Amino acid sequence: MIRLRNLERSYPLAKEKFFYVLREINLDVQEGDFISVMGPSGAGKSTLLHILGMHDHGWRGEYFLDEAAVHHLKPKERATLRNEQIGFVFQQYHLLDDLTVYENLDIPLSYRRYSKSERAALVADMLDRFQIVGKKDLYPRQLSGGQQQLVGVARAIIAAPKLLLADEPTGNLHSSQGEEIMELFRKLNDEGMTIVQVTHSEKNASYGKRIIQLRDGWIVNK
Amino acid sequence: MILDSFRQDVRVGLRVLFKDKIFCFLAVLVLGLGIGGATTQFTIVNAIVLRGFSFPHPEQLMSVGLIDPKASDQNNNFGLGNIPTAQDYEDLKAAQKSFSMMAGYLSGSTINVTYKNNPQRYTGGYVTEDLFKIIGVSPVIGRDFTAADNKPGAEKVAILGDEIWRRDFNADPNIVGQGIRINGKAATIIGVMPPNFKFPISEELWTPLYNEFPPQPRGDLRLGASNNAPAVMGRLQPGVTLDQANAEFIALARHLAKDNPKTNQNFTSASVQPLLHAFTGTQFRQQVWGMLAAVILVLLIACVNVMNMQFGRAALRAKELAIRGALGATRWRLVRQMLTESLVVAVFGAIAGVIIAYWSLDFFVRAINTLPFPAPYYWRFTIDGPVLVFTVVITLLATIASGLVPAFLSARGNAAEMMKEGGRGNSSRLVNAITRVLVVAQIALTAGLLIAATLEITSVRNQMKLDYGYDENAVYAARMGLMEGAYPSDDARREFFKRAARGLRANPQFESAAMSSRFRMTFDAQGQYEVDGQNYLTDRDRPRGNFESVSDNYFSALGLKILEGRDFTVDDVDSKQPVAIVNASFARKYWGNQSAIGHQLRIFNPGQPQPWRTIVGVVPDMLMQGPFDQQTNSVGFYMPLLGASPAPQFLTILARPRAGQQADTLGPALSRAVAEIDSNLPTYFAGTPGRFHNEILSGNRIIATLFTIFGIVAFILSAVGLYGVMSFSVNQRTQEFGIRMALGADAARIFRMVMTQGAWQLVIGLILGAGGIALLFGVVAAAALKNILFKVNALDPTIYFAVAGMLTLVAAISCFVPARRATRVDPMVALRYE
Ligand SMILES: Nc1ncnc2c1ncn2[C@@H]1O[C@H](COP(=O)(O)OP(=O)(O)OP(=O)(O)O)[C@@H](O)[C@H]1O
Ligand SMILES: [Mg+2]
Repeated sequence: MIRLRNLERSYPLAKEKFFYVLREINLDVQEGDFISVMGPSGAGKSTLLHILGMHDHGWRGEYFLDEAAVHHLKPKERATLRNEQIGFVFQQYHLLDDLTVYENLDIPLSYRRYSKSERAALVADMLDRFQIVGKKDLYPRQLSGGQQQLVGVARAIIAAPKLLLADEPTGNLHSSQGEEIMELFRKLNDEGMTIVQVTHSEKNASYGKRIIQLRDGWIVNK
Repeated sequence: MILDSFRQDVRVGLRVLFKDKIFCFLAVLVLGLGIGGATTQFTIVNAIVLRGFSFPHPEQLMSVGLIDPKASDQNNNFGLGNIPTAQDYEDLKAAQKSFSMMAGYLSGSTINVTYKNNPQRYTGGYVTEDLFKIIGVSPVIGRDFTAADNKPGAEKVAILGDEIWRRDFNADPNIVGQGIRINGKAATIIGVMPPNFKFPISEELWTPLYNEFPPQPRGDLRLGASNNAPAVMGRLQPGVTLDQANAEFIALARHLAKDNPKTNQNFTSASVQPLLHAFTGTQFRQQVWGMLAAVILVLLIACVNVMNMQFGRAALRAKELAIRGALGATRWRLVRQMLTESLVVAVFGAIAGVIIAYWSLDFFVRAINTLPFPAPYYWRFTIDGPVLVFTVVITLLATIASGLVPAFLSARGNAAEMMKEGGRGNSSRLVNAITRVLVVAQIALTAGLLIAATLEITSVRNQMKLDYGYDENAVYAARMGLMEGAYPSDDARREFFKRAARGLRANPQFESAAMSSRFRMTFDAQGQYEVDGQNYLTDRDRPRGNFESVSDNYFSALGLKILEGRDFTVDDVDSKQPVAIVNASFARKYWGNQSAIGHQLRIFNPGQPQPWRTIVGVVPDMLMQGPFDQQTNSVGFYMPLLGASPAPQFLTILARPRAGQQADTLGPALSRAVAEIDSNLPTYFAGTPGRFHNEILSGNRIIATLFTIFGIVAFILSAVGLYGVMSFSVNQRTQEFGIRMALGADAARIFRMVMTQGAWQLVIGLILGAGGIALLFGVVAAAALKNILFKVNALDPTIYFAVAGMLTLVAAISCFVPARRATRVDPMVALRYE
């Protein structure tokens, strides 16, 4: 599903010098895969995920998503592709403070071609499935961290992406809450969703099918 | 200690501001406009209301008037009262104890002077002998008036103003004792007043009152008979209060009313007020203060704008402040640093403001000087000590108004909160709401101001484009006054008119010449009249119209044809057979297609019945009331000037040049021609009617210009205000935009989001502003305010839409930049924000 060839990401350091965050990344992810990216702090894990999520455009190399050659796409086409295929879960949840749970879930749909009734139905489904119907009119600050991240995951998958990217989704959670999220991920993966997650914990990584180690921007083993 | 840290804060402040050039420029511009406006207006208030006279103890100078409690404010001279007869002044002066001195005067009078065969007209004062003594100013050359000078029948004397002494009397040091003629009588110059003295308003020459207008004994006086009764002023005895003086004069007024019912029965009360109030009416003073209030409101809006911008910056600097806090700065210390920055901005604003004030005062003074009626001499619009103190005070207030709240709120967040909420607390939500409401109010105000300005400008333009019914630039006009001394009787004046008409028409320079009662070829009489065959049940049924007294050949001199019947002749004399000429509107209104000739009309005056006049001619319509009148329709009629009784004292002469010559070059020829008829008779207010009309409108042009300036300032302020608020909100929502983008929002959608927020504020503001003005003009004060407008529909939708369109454009531009910035948010940066 994903094919990365010689992908590189660097930041300008001083005059004509560059600091390489990612180097010669070659990676293949099959449809239905569940990959955990691990590595020390500063290794470039988040950077990789944001490139996969097409938030970051300042890289070089080749990135194929299914048949699409992302490195040849214009920003607008990338955005369309991302909206169709990808969901993203953030470490800091990044729910919008001024919107209720219901409204937060509705955002991704409002940015895609859904009719009003479809949106209502999808949000209702999602609330049911994550068992947060009772919380739909609450604001994020009225939820626990685990509940917030639950909403974050729900929001990421509500538009039915084929690929779910998660950057330390349980980093700020108690282990029991983390387990809950991981179980959820496993279920989603069983249903056919491809998942790439960044994690520090061996335990969380074990939920995945494959582990990739990043060190100083290099993939060390597979 | 504090001073030390202050100096450091200023240094840091300057550095931060220099880095933030756009903020700095906008804030200084906005505060400069606000402070400049307030300084300008305060200079005006200071000149007109506060500074007052520079005489010793000006606060003791009072004006005195008798009041008719049953009459309207207007008839009581707006609360100042009148002195019904000169005898009342004498009786009051003899009986009162509150004043150490009293004086009477007639100000702004025409005084004709001939010096070395050169006749001149001056604005002068007829004064009692104590006028200069009471204010404590003496002539610098020669002597003051004495009681003997003021006696009727005494040798006539005059004191010159400094300006005319230099200009027209060659600054002759030996001027005292030289002979001149005043109003046709021999007189002697006895003194010259100091420079810059034109008391009480703008007089340039003074001569004793009773010598020119001998007071009549009580027995000869009737109620309401004009007796050249003077205005009266007094100087309070030390220790006497205004209330005590009022009490005394009210008691005196009651006595006078009881003792002299023939003249005084209605004047049962009195009013003693500061002299300055007598010269600048209550209404006018309120207007001046009101404008200061308006300008301070504008300054407040400016402060709110800067406050909004400060909020925006504070949001950006949340992290810096949090770190400073974490490193041990107290909240008060942070507030002080932010306030110091505000002060630095405000000081730059004040410097810009004073420059703006100098510039706008220069403009204002030049505008005032183009007015056809001179301003009081003591109005000096200069930026002096008190004005600068005012500027410093409002600058400090502006600092606090624009800086304190942002400083306080942004210094509140502690480091932990900052981490948790990304620099946004609940307080910022409140601030958000406040700033949005303020911007809405500001747009409403701007919309209102712009609509009012556009209406006013349209009015003035309509006035400038008026068709007067004749070519205003094809004739030359000048005014003259036949004074009692030279022309004591009706016959003497009639004789002069005939001689003048003959002389002017014989002059080879003029193709034709005529005379009219019309003042500056602009205003003339207006009133009720009657037409034969009509029944009038009540007084109010009688129609209103314009009328004018003119000589023969008046219409041909203006280039108009008699439509029907004939022109006046020298033989049309009221005492033999009173006649009239009506204009086309008049004829059409009463007789339609039939002839008006032979019908009769008369002026309605129940107190002094006027003769019925037979209509002998019909002429085309002309604008008879200048550029202001829009109530009376064009119905009007003319009466013979040469045969009028009593014969008028003041009149306008008109000359039409020979073909090929310009009318506006006729000035010297006309004064020479008049001098040949009477070498002591000066002409004044000379020029083409076109020029007069232009001058008459200059007051309105000033108002229109002021409106335009206010409009532009308000325009800039609301643009900056909207920009500030949108900028602030975009900065605050950086992370939100990043998340929304990560969740799939494209640039267009983010852009629309920001623009929509601006659009809501705009729409609400526009509706409030336009609705407010529409309500003001359309419903609330229709009658009063419509006088301000000239042939403009106060609810003209095109004006409303034009203003709405303009504001929308500006709002779009000022939202565009922040909206664009919102679309440029890098989701990477926003999402990494921790
Ligand atoms: N805008 C930037 N400019 C320069 N360097 C950057 C920028 N953003 C990230 N980096 C660098 O890229 C490197 C990788 O960052 P990244 O966030 O991908 O690490 P990570 O593996 O996710 O670490 P962590 O486990 O702490 O989240 C870091 O050394 C960081 O300093
Ligand atoms: Mg990371």
